[in-house]
Amino acid sequence: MLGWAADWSSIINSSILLLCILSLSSLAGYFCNKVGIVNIALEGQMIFGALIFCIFAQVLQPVANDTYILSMLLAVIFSVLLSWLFGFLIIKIKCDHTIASTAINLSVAGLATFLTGPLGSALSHGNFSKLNPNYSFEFHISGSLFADIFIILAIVAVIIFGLWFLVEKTRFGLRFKAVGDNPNAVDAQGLNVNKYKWIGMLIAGVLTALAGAIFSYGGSNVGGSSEFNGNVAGLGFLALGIVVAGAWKIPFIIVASIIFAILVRLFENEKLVSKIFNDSTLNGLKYVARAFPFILSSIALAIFSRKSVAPQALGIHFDKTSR
Amino acid sequence: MNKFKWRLARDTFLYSRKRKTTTKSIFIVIIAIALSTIVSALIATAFGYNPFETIKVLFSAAFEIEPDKFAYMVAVFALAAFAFSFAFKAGIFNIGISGQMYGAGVTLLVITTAIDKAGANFPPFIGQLFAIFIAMLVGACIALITGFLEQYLKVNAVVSAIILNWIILLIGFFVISAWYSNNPDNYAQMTASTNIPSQFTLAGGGIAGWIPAVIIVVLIAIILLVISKYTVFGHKINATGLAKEASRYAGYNVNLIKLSTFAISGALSGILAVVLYTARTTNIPATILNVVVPTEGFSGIAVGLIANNNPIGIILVSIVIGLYKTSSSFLSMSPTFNDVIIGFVMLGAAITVVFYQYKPWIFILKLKYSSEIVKPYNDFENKLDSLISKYKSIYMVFLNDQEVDKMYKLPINRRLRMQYKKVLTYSQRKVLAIIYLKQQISYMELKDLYDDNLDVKLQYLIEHGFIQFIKRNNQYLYQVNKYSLNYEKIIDYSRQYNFVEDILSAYIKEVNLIKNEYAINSIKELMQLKLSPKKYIDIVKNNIIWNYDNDLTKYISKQKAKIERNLEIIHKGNIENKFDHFLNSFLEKSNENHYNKIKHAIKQNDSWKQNAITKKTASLSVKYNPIGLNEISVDNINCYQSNDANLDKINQKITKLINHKVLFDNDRQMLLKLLVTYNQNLYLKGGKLC
Repeated sequence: MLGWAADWSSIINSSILLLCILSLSSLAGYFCNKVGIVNIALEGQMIFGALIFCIFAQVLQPVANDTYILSMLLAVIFSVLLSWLFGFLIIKIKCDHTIASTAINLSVAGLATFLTGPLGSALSHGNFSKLNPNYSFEFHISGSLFADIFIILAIVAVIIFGLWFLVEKTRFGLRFKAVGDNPNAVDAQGLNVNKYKWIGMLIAGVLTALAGAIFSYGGSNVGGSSEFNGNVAGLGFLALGIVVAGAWKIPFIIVASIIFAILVRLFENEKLVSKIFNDSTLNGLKYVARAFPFILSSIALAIFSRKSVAPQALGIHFDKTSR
Repeated sequence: MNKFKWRLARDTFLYSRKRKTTTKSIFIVIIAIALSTIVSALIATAFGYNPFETIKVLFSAAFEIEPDKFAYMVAVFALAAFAFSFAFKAGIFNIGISGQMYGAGVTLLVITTAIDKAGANFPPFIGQLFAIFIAMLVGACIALITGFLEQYLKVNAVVSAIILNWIILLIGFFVISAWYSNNPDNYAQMTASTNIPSQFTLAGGGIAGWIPAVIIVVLIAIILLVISKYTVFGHKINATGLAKEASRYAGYNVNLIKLSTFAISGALSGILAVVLYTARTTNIPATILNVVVPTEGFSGIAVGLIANNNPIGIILVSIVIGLYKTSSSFLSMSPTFNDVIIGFVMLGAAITVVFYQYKPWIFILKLKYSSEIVKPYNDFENKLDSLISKYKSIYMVFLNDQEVDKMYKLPINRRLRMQYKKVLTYSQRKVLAIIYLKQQISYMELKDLYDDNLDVKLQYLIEHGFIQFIKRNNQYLYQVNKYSLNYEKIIDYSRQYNFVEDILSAYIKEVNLIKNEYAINSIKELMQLKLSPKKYIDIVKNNIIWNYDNDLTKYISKQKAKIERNLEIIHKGNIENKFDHFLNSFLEKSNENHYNKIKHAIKQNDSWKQNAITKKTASLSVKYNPIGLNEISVDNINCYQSNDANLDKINQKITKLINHKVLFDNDRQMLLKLLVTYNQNLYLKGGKLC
């Protein structure tokens, strides 16, 4: 039973972290969609946040020990650059949303996979071959719950509650949501539609950067090492499914992300899976187990897509003349 | 004709606002690739590598060291881009190419190993065709899952495709690691599956694997071109991509078309799997430590978008990117550098969509002058654009029969041919002009006026909707179609111009008009601030000269009319007095006071530049001191000899005026004609006329 206890703590640790990541990134997708932008570049934005976090965590580690909050703040600040580029492509130049998102995905992923090697070896003076913020190796070994994780959870909860309040209970939120449904009506009232779109992009950039930073802090769950491989293990795409499954409503999105986080981590835990599937040749079944949340999300999409109502001006560029 | 054609082509390239021509897209692709290489070279310098060396290696290593791998990579990228671009024509963003490819590969592995174990032997080519067939089936089935989800359950295709990618990847990993691992003892070090049996692979069997791959690519390119351009099915696909609702109203079965495009792109990604997994190394890569969706699908998306979904462009772009990919393994830096390059190329291609809509030199103008120049520049471009389209229609009217035949026989560009099918030849135009002028005309009347092969031309015109054949008052008549109003304008244009050189000169004149207008409008906004006085003077001078030309012609024509009127009077009435009266009235404008002003202005000829800003002196000097006209020779006047003193007086007056450049050659001739009629006996008396 002691083995089980250790497993349960690690499961709770990792699931809370994954919950934070998924909820933040799916909220970012929610904010983009509510303004009429189809954002498939969540993965790219998260990778960027993770990259910046890793760099600054390694740079600042000899200066101070618990510097993860500072590095997260810096990741958030640098994400403004990427969201500026993305918004420029979509709002100013009016590219196709999917094309611009895949462009950002590819470029950021390429940059990240390229930069981990040289930067990692340079910053760690040859110790590591890749970027390594060196935080998460403790989570999966020890048996206790970490206080840091609950601090992160508290911060994320405050952020989510604040955003929910902003969007549901204030006038700003009402106008914000209206931009995705009928931007011409909003324009007729005299409000600046592009301003709200830029705000949506900025918020999305901030949230995904935070999510990426939390991922490289401890959310990757790669057996003992906290290397940065240049990817976010496809979590950005999972968030897209959660947004649709949550029917573009924040409480449903949070509930869906909780369910997903728990299930993903349950089935990734090797000891649990090996207890269920006892045969050693079927070791690869853990990959099927890892596919289970994706299967769930596709079923959820299949069930809920008919009933959930997307914002009406989703994917359509704003044209002032078409009133 | 060629001069005009070239001039129009050049101006459309430079000044057309929202046209997506092939030259522009090629230009933009080259710019994107060049920019991305430069940026990646800069990144290389940031890490201490020599940029010129990297570029050299990028472009040369593939040919020298590994041409097999280069051809293989080209085939891989091209097929992935085909799979993506074919779906993109119907408006589908097929991001699930990687999953379809991987699933097809895994099922191929399973089935072929089973068949090999059972001992069946396939003849040489049949095995490969069998493999291709299975892969196409499986790829199509996987793609159809996303298709059905999108059609009937309204799930976003992109999201479902991505999730399906991951599901297939993980299931495939399971299958490979359980039964087909290349390292069954050490589970954690599996990197690939077992080999696909050689009777089903493209590699092995005497020839290198990349030859059939390249052949497949070329065949598929031809097939896709033929489908999209020459078949009804391809036309339907293009129509659903461009206007979904309109094609639905036209009766196309949009659901079926979309599902079939999904299936076809899935089949293409199945072929990609065959090429990727059997043409060089005959196993499926599956590294346990890093579970990542294979990137060939996304590179295919990048290539397809850069090349604007054109099969020929795809082949060319995939050659460049295949070059980068194979050469990057020989760079001194890490081999992940090619991902950076492809990422930046993609980003560059997305950004260079800007150049279709925006022109970067507007920013330069904004910097140089203020932002107020945007409006006059946009007016300038709009007017040029409309002018170019107008002259294009005129160009179409002036085609000879031979040129129309040539265009009709163009084999490649069917779109052009369909456009020019509606062009009328000169003879057809004549018929149409006659009917238009007469408004309604019977056959017999028309035959009287126009004789040559009339029946054929009428048939052509009726078929293409230019004229109608109506019955009115028990009479059958031909009438120009109300809805072919455009062609009224063309007929009007054709009445104005007789030669092509006239069109070209008229076009150039109008272009200069617009340019002058732009210059003046921009200067009105900006003259206070930043324009040098020299430039301003030049532009004002050009404008004044143009105005002067206009005024001059009007002036001359007015005077000519007056002279002709007075000629009639002279014929009828008392000639001598009337002539004197006429001459005096003509010279009223050059009376003494006025004459002095002219002298003054003539003296100021050299220094008019300094006073150009004040309009009065400029207009005066220019009006009465024409610039650019040839000097009139005085010798011709002295040929005229007479015995009459009055005539000599008149002659002297005329010479005076000519020497002071008040009268011009045309006026002199008119006046001489006057003199001749005035004294008809001159010629009989022996006076010479020159």
